Amino acid sequence: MNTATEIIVRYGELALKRGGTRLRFERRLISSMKAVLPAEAKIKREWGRIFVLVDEENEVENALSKLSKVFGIVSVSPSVKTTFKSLPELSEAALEFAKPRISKEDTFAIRARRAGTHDFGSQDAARVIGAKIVESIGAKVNLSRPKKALCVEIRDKSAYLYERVVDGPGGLPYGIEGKVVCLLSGGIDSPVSSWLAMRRGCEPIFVHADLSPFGDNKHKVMDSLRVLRDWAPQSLAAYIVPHGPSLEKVMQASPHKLLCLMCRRLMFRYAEKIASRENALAIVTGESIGQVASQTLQNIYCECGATSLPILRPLIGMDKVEIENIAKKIGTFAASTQPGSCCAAVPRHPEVAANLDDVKDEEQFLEVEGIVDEAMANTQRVVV
Amino acid sequence: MVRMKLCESKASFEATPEKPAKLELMKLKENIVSENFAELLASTPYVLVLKMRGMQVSVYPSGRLLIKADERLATVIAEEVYGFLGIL
Repeated sequence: MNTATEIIVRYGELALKRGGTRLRFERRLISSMKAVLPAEAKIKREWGRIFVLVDEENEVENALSKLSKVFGIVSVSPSVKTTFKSLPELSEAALEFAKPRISKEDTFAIRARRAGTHDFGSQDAARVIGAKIVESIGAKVNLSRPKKALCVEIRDKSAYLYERVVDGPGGLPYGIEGKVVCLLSGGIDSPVSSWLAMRRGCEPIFVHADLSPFGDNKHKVMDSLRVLRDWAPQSLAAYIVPHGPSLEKVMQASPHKLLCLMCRRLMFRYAEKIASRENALAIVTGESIGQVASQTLQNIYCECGATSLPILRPLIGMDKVEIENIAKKIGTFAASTQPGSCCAAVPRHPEVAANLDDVKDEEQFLEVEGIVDEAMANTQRVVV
Repeated sequence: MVRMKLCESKASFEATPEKPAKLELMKLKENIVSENFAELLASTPYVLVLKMRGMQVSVYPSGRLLIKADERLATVIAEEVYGFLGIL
């Protein structure tokens, strides 16, 4: 009775969807869950909840750890399932659940939720179960700051008893919105922006513009990808584009101060080519307004026209500390902050308020299409 | 005298000459190639990237160098480059 082998899975935004859309989202979520759970785990869908049944208690922790990284899941709780015919019968089951968990010295609260038709309300259930525990164990009730909180979720003639709630990432099921191309630089921001796009139901196709010989952050990118892989139900694809030769050509022909802008416009062109190959619908970047020279509003404006795809910038309104905090939470911070060589081509005084016409004029002196095609011809696709 | 400091990336050392230089990198590139001083990885008017003793070295017009090596080897390389440039 006291072995928690049934995991309650709660989802958030999916509950706002209706009809066929909701079914599609739930199915996608279940498919993500199946991908990370052991084959023998059973999954059942009920209205507003999904339940995972595992055979043995020691599989529960592993399942909780995996499910807490599935996009779309708000929280999970390992629970003990019981069936009942009356509220006194339920309170007996709740007492058995409470006995090894609550001692006489503890203060406790019962948190009850209810779905279905019953001749009692949630608060009635909490009161009756609480009274039973006070009477049998002798613990004291403290509803505002209890030492122990026991929860009961009543669904028709079943009840799920639990004490732990493990947070999930929330958001939408992985891939439900389609594919996006995520630019990964090796810094702190781009893995965070990619993760946020994944959290909104996007399947990422990663693109890293390899700066060699002007810099080399491939090891940081690969380490970040390995961390992000833990958040995905399937392997991740990444394209490594040799960008150094392109940079060399730009610097040989264009004013140095425009390099960062022209560099980014080339990256968008690579991303668009890869998006077309992979059927991706948008480009995701880690830009945040004003964070560095290439991210002033004026310079972001100058990125216009380099691609016809929408550019999604999940970090646009965040400051560095907020971005770093997310990186730490999702696990990419360590990979992004290990030693790496920064770009040796960056001008000392990059343009912070470029003029789009000037940038376009400079591009006319370059064989932009040829540069992009050459880089794409030498691009490698890796799977993590 | 070469001044060395660890670069922000923690993967390279930055060397600066005592007095800033004004190097014509495209001309310097020709000398490097003709005298077989180092392997040239990239050449632009703003930065040259060389390979010396198996390490990558970026040379800037001011004489600043970025050397991807440990401090001891970076110092040796910096002295060699400044010796070649005649600005030691």
